[in-house]
Amino acid sequence: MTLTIDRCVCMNRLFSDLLPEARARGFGLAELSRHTGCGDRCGLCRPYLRRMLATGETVFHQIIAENAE
Amino acid sequence: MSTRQRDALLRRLGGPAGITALALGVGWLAIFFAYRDQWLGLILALLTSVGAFIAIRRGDVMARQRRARLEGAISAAAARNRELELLRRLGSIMLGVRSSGELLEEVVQLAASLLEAEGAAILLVVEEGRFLKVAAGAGLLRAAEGSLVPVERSLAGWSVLNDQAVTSDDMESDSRNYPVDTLPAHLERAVCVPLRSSGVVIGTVCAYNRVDGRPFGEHDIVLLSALAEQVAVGLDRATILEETRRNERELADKNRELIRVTKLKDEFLANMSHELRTPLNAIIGFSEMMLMPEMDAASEQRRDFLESIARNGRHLLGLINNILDLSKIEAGRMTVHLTRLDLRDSIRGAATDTTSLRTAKQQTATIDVGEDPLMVVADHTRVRQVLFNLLSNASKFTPEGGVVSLSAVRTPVPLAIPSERAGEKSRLVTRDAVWVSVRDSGIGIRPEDMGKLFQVFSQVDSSASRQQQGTGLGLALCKQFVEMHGGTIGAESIVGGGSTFWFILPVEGPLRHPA
Repeated sequence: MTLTIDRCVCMNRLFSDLLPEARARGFGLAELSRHTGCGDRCGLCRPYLRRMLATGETVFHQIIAENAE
Repeated sequence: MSTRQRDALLRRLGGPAGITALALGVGWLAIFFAYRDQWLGLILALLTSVGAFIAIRRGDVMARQRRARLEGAISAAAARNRELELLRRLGSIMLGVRSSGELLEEVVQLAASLLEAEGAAILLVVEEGRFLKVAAGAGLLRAAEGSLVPVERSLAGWSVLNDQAVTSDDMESDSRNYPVDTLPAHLERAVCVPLRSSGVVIGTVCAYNRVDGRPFGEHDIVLLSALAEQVAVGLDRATILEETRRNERELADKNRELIRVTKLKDEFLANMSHELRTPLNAIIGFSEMMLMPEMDAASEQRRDFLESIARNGRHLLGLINNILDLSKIEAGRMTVHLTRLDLRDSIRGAATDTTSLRTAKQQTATIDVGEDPLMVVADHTRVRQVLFNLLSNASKFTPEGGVVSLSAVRTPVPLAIPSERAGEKSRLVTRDAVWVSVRDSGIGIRPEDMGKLFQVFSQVDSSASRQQQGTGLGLALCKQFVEMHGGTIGAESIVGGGSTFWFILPVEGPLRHPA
């Protein structure tokens, strides 16, 4: 079993749900946060969201720090 | 033969027919004597002529008298008809009228024309029976509408006090008269009739004439009394109608308010469930992640997750506490524990409590509370709660790097004293108080949103995508707490230029009405 990070925990929204929404409406990270609240509370999912928007990945198996890239 | 029969016979003999018959008899005698060539015939013929002349004159006079009597009867019948017509119209006014004011206006006009008076007025008892108010006036009395007349020393008042109709031909010399300054002409003649509603005298109906006008008599009292009786019935009806309409209006208002509150509660519930679920999501989600066996390795992340769980737990507790406080206030079970405290300590304490909020956004705070202690009688916990709320709001709505300024000063302010009796307006009394303000350099509040700031369950932006979290309870709670101390709370704001929230606490604690 490997580490699985697939959602914004505070808002309980799966990355796989967030990605199509962001793509459909052309959201960047800031707009996505304002619209869904994800990444705006504890902020721990922000690097994952950024990565998701850049690469299209929705499931992560490793820990990404805020200043990773 | 009775006396009456004899009188009738005499009157008939004295009438033109009797005199003519007598003259005829004398005429025949004159012919008889003339035939016999006696001089008496000439004299009798002369007498006949004189008798005929008298008979003609008598007939003339009688005819004139009879015509005058007839004319009198006809005009009296016409006057009766007119009076009856007017009284009938009164009946239809009573049925058609929609308010008591309208009724009085119509009736007073009718009273003036009914009595053919130059002025008429309806006066109602006001000021606990000490004064009469001219509720409606017609003709010369129109200008007196709204003026007050003392019950003592006035003709109208006399009629009210004695529950009796009164007439006067010379008001000026009448000791019961009270001159009303607003009247243009010298009114000398008056008639006043009491106005009763369910047996109680509630005012009077009066008619007036100038000194050259017609004096009032018994018949006028009868007419005016008939009118007064009807007016009382109409007034009762109008009052009931008005009351019904007012009740209907109140019910409609209450209904609208109920709908508004229900809508607010619905919105609140929607917001609230979102606000309560979010920290629970975090608590459950991060706990689950920490329970994953792979997590053991990443001790750095464990710490982040634990911090998140703790922070969200505290946030949830705060939310629930707010809800409980507010429901306690709504149920009337909230009490304040008053002690004498220095507001400067509370302000500094609240500033320290909210330091973490500001450092997270690189905001700075300035505190200006002066050198002297700011002692007030207040509930320590509630004051801290209010300050904490205002400070965290200020941080929340101020962008990164902004400034939050706190200040407090002691000053005399007018404060409302609670009224002693229900329905009475509260009075303003100047008391020493401490004025505390929290100013931010945030986004500001639009003028149209200022009104709902302190309402329960309201948030300026209640849309689902709103940027700022919160329940919409914080400011409502602050208002309740400040008002429990006898103070007031308010806000001023410029859109884009920041907001200032202030509250005033009376130095001596909640004001009670003077013993």
